[in-house]
Amino acid sequence: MMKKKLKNVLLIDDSESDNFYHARKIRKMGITDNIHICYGGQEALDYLKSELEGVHPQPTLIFLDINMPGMNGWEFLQEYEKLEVAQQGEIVLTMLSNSIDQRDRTRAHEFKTVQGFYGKPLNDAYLTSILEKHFPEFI
Amino acid sequence: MKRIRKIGFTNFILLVSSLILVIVLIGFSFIMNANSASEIAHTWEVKNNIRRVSASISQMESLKLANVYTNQIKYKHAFAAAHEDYDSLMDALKVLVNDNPLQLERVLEVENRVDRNFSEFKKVKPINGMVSIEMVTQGKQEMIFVETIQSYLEEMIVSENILLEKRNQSYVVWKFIILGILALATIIVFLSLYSLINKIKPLVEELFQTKNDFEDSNRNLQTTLAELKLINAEKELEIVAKESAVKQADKLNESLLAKNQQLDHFAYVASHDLQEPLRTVTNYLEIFQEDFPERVEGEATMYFDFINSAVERMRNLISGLLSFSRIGTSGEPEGIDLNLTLSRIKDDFSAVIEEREIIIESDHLPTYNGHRIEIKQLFQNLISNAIKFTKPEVTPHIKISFDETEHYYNFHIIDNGIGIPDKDFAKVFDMFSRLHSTKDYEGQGIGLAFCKKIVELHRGNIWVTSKFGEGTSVHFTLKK
Repeated sequence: MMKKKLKNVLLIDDSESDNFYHARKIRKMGITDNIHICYGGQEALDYLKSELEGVHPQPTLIFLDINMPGMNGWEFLQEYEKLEVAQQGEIVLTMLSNSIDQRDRTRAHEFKTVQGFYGKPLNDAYLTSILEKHFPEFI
Repeated sequence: MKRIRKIGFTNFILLVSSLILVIVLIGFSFIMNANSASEIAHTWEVKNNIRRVSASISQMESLKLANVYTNQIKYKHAFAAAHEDYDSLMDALKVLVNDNPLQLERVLEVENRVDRNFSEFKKVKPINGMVSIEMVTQGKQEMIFVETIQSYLEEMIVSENILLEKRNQSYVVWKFIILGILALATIIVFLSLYSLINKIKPLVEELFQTKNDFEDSNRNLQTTLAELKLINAEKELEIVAKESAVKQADKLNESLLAKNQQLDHFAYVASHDLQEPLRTVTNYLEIFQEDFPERVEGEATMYFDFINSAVERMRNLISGLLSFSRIGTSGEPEGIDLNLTLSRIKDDFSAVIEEREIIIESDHLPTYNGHRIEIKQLFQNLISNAIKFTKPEVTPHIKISFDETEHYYNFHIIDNGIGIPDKDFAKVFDMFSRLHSTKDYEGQGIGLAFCKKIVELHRGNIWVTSKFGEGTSVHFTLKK
């Protein structure tokens, strides 16, 4: 039986090496063919608002880093929650951070769009648990 | 005070009553004396009057005779004038002797005789030139009359003289009585003064003594006061010094606290930021091994193992440092049942406990108000150390004993492990301090440093005692 694949995954992180590694992981897991990478909060917002033939990209899954130059993860979240639903789509947003600080974790849960908080690096176990929790039909 | 009042009062009463008596007596005597004096003066006046009356009668007699013998009218006129004098003198004398009936009688007798004598003279016609027998007879009668009058008057004077004598005597007597009373009064005054002085003297002396005593004690007090002031000043200086010391200590504490926070923040940021490149290294080692398995062979495998284990160790050190900087930041203190904490730890260690047949004994532990995660980590680290540092062939026997003092809970974790040499008792609590090589005993040397920081977070103390080769006791206190 062929697994269903996620339409589109968005990585928001300023670290090129992390993006490369995470994209490789996701690709290897075979959960999507479409990975888009943004290197900052503002770029990600612009991407979400963009249209192609009247349709917003609406990624299925977003991984968001906290520490980024310019617009950081928290600032991005504030702007993101102001977007139209069509721009957000049915998106599941999880944070992916260097931080293991409890305060960051608590703060993340204050945003209702945030569905998870994971420490870097993204590994197979994390990915599997995300899929189990939010996309059981894709396994 | 009561005594003084009593003595003074009695004396005063005595003195005042004596003086009043004396004054009364003196007054009385003066009155008597003055009476005597006025009576004497009266007597003299009476005597003078009698003499003047006698002189006046003599004058009248001679004028009468002159008239009779010369028959000149001028003698008759002079006689009339003399008679007027006599009348007024006689009236005055009657008033003067009014108080003395005998004398008054004599005065009246004299007056009668004089009146009789001179009333006949008025009737007689003067005769010129010749002296009749009748006249001679009359002359004899006149002589008798004058003598009789004179004798009466003489009697009166004698009687007045007797009176005068008597009154003089009484005057002298009263004078002596006054002098006597004055002397008596003086004596009384002096006696009372003397007795008063005698009685007051000891009191006055006593007063003086008391005054001296007071002055002495006053001086002593002042000396003591001065000393006290000096001591006080010293104390104040001391207090000021202490206050400034306390302030300085507070300042130091504050700056220490700030420095500690800065250090914790630094450790956090440093370890946080160090994690990232390290992770990249790990990630790409992994990718390299996955993507180029044919190149990772032979000696390269060994190199990769070294790199991996070094990176792993580095990650552990950094995450240790990170956790160390996070101690005390995980929420507020809460009540923790330490027995429960211990049983959780035993659960966590159940695999190794079973494998090595470890015995863990414990007293009944209290419920402690502290940071839950940190307190668990404290016990966990100490128990884990006790297990780790026991030779594999020895069955670990761990005893957790507990007692309490007024302000502290005291815990002792006693094992039968390899022990610690005396010289290293303090060193074991240093960060990254290790007494053994990684080959013998694994670890980053942060376990006891953690314990120390956790205990200090709960304002307690931690130290070790050990007999090298026989076992170690870790003692720590937690402030109530």
